[in-house]
Amino acid sequence: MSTSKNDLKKIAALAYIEMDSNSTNQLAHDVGAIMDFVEQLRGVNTSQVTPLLHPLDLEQRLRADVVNEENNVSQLADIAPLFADNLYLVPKVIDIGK
Amino acid sequence: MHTLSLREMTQALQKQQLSSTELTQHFLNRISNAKTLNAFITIDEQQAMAAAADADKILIRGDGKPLTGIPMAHKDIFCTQTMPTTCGSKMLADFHSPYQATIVKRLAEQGAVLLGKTNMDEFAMGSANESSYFGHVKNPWALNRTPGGSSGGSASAIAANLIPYATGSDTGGSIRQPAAFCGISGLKPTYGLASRFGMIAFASSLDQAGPMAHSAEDLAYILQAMAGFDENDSTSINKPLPDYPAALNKPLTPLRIGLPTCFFQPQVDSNIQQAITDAVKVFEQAGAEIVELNLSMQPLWVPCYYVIACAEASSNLSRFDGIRFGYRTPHADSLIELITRSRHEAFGIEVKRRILTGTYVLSSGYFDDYYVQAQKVRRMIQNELQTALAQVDVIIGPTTPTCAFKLGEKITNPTERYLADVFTVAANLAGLPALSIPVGFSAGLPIGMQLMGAHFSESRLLNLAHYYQQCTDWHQTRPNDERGFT
Repeated sequence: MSTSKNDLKKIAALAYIEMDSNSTNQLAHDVGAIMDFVEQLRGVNTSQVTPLLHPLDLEQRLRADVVNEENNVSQLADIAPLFADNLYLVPKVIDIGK
Repeated sequence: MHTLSLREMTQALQKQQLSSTELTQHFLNRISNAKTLNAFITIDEQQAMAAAADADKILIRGDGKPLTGIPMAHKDIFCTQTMPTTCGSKMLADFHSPYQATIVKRLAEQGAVLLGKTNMDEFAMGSANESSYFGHVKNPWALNRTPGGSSGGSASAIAANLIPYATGSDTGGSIRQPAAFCGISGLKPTYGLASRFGMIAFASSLDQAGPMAHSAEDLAYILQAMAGFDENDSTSINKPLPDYPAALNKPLTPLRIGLPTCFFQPQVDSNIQQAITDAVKVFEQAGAEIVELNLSMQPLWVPCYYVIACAEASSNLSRFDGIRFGYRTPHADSLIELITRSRHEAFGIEVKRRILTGTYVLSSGYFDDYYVQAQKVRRMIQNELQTALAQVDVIIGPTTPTCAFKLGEKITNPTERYLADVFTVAANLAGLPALSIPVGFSAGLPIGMQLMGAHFSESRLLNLAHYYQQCTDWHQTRPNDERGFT
């Protein structure tokens, strides 16, 4: 299964990874090779098989919906690249135009 | 001092024949003389000496527990509040976690003396420790060879006697494969036995934390301190823990050993095949019965693993966005550019390869054909292994098809690299416990043997490995310091 550069660019956009010309060629080749490698899975007859979602077939344990942590905004602010007034700072999202 | 077992160290410390301060200084000296191995990302001597002084006070009071005062290191995938947590990535190169992993907390409460954080493949993705942002790690048995990965720093440091034990994580063999390549012992516990809270996620249905050390006896003491229920990890199993050290000397027989024929194929190094055959004879001589197993699903283990691991990695690593924590590009004019460029600049090639592959198999049109199909194949693989384990107590085979390969070897072909995990991924897919112990050498390089058992059979696996290590001394054979790494 070959992976075209266009396929890869679409996938990269979904994965939020910027592509430059060097990495696009190499990664298109590598991802294509991996997809070829896993292709053999599709030949297995699994019509009567239930997917295995958890290795012990257990359901995710849920905790009671109660507050059990103190407000830790200052700790989160300390590790954020840009943070002010209890807000994460990002480039402008909405452009109101002229 | 550095050749003592953990039990011997604990005894010497509790009898005050040795102080934690002396022991810690000794290992710090060895680390500072072995920088060429690049086994550590962080070392904090001041913090280690302060922890040793605290441990000495506890020991003098007579309140020491097993492991109190013994130096150790955590793989840099475990969040620590007192040291950076990088996960081997530029993305987290300056990350200081606001909380600590449960395993870090448990070992600290036991009085463990943390010396530093060990090097690893970036986000635990790799089998050679060559994808670390902090440079590759060297194997102390041959400095031009890989220590294996992703817990390569932990394995290299233990093999070179720079630390007596360390933590690791194992998603597809990341504890057992480096243990095999470096001639040490390593255990991947049953899925859910050891808490993953604070262990940076790679593939959540496969990841498991575990101990790495010289012997099965050492592993039993560490597992006892690490394992157990944690309400902060929703996959943690709430059941009483057995006494692992007490089970080490239980009777060996009756014992049925399963030997899969697929583990003895021509592509497996003939010296490795011979070493496993010789090791099995040790059990046979003690009365074990050998059962030949046919595991017909084995050719699908690695393809199945890579679909699931990459899919889960692409989801888990979506949290790294350059906004909340971690690396942020200085060159972005829009929100999308900020996220995509931060990820492009901070993730290495292997991480991108796996995120893209994972995104591919989860994308519309491919989800059922690849991801759901892999989950169904996973069920078939687990069923086959459980059927086998209903007939035998343990499945034995080589941990790896070759010994440690040269640094840079096979680097151009990712799928060839993935086959280094050919015997280890099954335990992760099925959630089974498995350990690797050293059983000999091929051309001067260590050989590892894998023992895989039913869910929660850690006591039995450690019991068998301990019996073997009472009959042999491979686990006590250490690389020669004169080779130049100290």
